[in-house]
Amino acid sequence: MYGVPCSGVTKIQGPAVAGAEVEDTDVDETDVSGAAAALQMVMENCFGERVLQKVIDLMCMKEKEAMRNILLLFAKLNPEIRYVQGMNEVLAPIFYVFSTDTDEQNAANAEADSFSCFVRLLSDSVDHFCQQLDNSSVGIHSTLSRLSELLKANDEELWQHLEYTTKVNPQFYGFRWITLLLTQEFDLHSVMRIWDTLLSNPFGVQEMLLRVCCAMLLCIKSSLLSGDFIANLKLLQHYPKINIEHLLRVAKDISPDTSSFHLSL
Amino acid sequence: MAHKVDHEYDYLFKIVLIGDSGVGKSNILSRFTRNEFCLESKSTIGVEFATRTLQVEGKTVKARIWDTAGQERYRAITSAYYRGAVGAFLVYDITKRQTFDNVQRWLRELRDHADSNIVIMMAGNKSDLNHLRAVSEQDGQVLAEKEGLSFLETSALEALNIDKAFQTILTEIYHIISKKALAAQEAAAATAIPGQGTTINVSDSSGNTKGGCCST
Repeated sequence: MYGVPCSGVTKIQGPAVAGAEVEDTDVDETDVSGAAAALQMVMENCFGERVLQKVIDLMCMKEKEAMRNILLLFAKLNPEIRYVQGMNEVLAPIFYVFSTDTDEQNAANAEADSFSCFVRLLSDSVDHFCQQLDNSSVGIHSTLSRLSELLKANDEELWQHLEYTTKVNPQFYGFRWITLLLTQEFDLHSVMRIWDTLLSNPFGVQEMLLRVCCAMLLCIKSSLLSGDFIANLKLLQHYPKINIEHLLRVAKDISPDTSSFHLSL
Repeated sequence: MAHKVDHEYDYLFKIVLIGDSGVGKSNILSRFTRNEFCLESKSTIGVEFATRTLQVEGKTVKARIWDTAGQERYRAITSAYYRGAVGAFLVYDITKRQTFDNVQRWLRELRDHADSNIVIMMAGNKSDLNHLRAVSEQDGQVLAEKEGLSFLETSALEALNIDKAFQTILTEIYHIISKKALAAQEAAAATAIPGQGTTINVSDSSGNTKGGCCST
């Protein structure tokens, strides 16, 4: 929970300032007001996120400040991207793992370790956060097309039904799945299990992420095939609870996105 | 292919919820569609979708509502959703002057990306925080009249004026649609009888979205 005092702050100050300040806050200007505005922006978006609830339950101000520092530093080092809402959700599982390490020495270094891992984790997908690159080959639309192609290669019936019959474009659901590495779709425990698979996969995080996303569609195929636009959109934007091990097994069996190469499922 | 298709409505209206981040769009939506309010709601990433069916002048109207992310980064992504929308619910936060000042920017977004006849309801949200008010109700009314918008102050937390605001915008859309349908019928009738070639200007029917500030 993000406690009574915080909720007051967030309600009163709200991310509205963040939205408003984003354009005006040039992190290249290292003046105090710019930094303060960026800090406030990060702070306001850092608190009170549902995926963080369990984490925040355990958190004291010091830990909140550490997360704020990480996101602020990231914003300063990436002036073309700065802070984008949702980055906090990607950071949360990383920070949770480091800060709850049973080795006190390790836990004491949680801020630095989390920062380093956060940067590396985002290194091959940070462009998804960048509006200027949306339509480039590294932007989010290109990645969403790859998801669509992957689905088509693995289950053309479902692909046809989603994209043509019910006109549920991958952008409607896949945008959040991919940019936030599924952190808003599952509870923290499940997210960490899925991330183990993403991080340990030789194909790389993004490639495996697309396979997991595709598997998420395959796992609820029968519901999707019987649903119309509204039913399917609601289902995909509020993904149902499923067996994560089963999901990951399906993901691992997914054949890569090459039309000449099909694995039989 | 077996479809679970919902045909139990007379009209289907697409509405977009827009405004700066943190003004309460997602809570307005959850209050309207599920009668829920969450103090700890997370940022909307991209767009979220919900529906509610209600009665408008005896007709069953299904509102398909697209809740959009307010942060600048998501602007290009979300503006793609304006296409086909017949109504826009433009929200600002009465405790944040900046969110009210940005209403003009949002109107420009709508002009650039939405249908020109789109019906707009402007909502000054968080009216429960009257002690922190930074935008007077009169300022809202003046702007609404100047821009030809409907206007209400709302509180998603207290469920104040949320249903009324949606009812107002859906009724207004219904009036325009039914007038257009009527005009089209009359036009068809007129062409069927060559002697009575009265010209009916269909676009006139959408001209009356101005005025009539609904705040009471």
